[in-house]
Amino acid sequence: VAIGIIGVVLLAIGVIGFVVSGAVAGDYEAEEKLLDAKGVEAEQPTAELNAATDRVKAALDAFRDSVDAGVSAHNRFTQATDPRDCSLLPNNLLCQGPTAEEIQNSVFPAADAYAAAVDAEQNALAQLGQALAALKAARQ
Amino acid sequence: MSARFDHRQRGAVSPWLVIALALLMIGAVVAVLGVRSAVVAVQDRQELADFADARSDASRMADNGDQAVAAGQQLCNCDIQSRDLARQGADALAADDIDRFNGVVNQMNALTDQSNQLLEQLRALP
Repeated sequence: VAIGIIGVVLLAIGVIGFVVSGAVAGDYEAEEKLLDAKGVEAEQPTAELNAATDRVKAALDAFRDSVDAGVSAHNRFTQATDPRDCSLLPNNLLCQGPTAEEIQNSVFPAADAYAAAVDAEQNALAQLGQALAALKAARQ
Repeated sequence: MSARFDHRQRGAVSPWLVIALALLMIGAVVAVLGVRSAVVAVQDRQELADFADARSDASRMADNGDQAVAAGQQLCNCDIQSRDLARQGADALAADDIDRFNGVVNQMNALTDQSNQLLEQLRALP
């Protein structure tokens, strides 16, 4: 009797196992069909998608940083072209823009730095576009 | 009589024992297969769930990326114009042509307003 009871219990466990496997099988049917059509296991495309998503995130952050750097460079150029602080002078008419020396030493370098920052910005945008294209390819 | 009866009992196998043993064997096989099937199904489900999450994240990131690229291209166009104006402004200052310099500054300020709006869009993206 004890052997029979153990057998029935094992049988019941097996049946429950099959019921559970049948119940969870249909939850991600669309994904399963997609993977079957590709003929790959889920792990590989998941890793590829996660890697591609991380690359786009990194590229987006890098682009934002380059834009911030561009804004700083723009501000530095604007400051370099500002008139000198003449608040202590008795007559504001005496306030003048930067001297020729300051223009050579500050304004032109600031304009060059701004140009470099804009180039870096464009470069970061191009990299974002490439990462995005790779992500779209991995998603298909 | 008693001795004969004992002899017969020792030689015979109870049909209930046979049924119980058969049930045990079948039960063991079914249990192994069933549990294995459940474990594999749960693992597959987890992998598929991870894949579905990865696809969902990828779609969201692709949408963000598209918006960022669209805003970024406009921003870059503004900054390229602004960069060229900065050079013109520096030249105007060097030439002591204040009117031209002020004109350049006004154009740069208009571009900065556009850039700031695009920058806000870019920063608002998750």
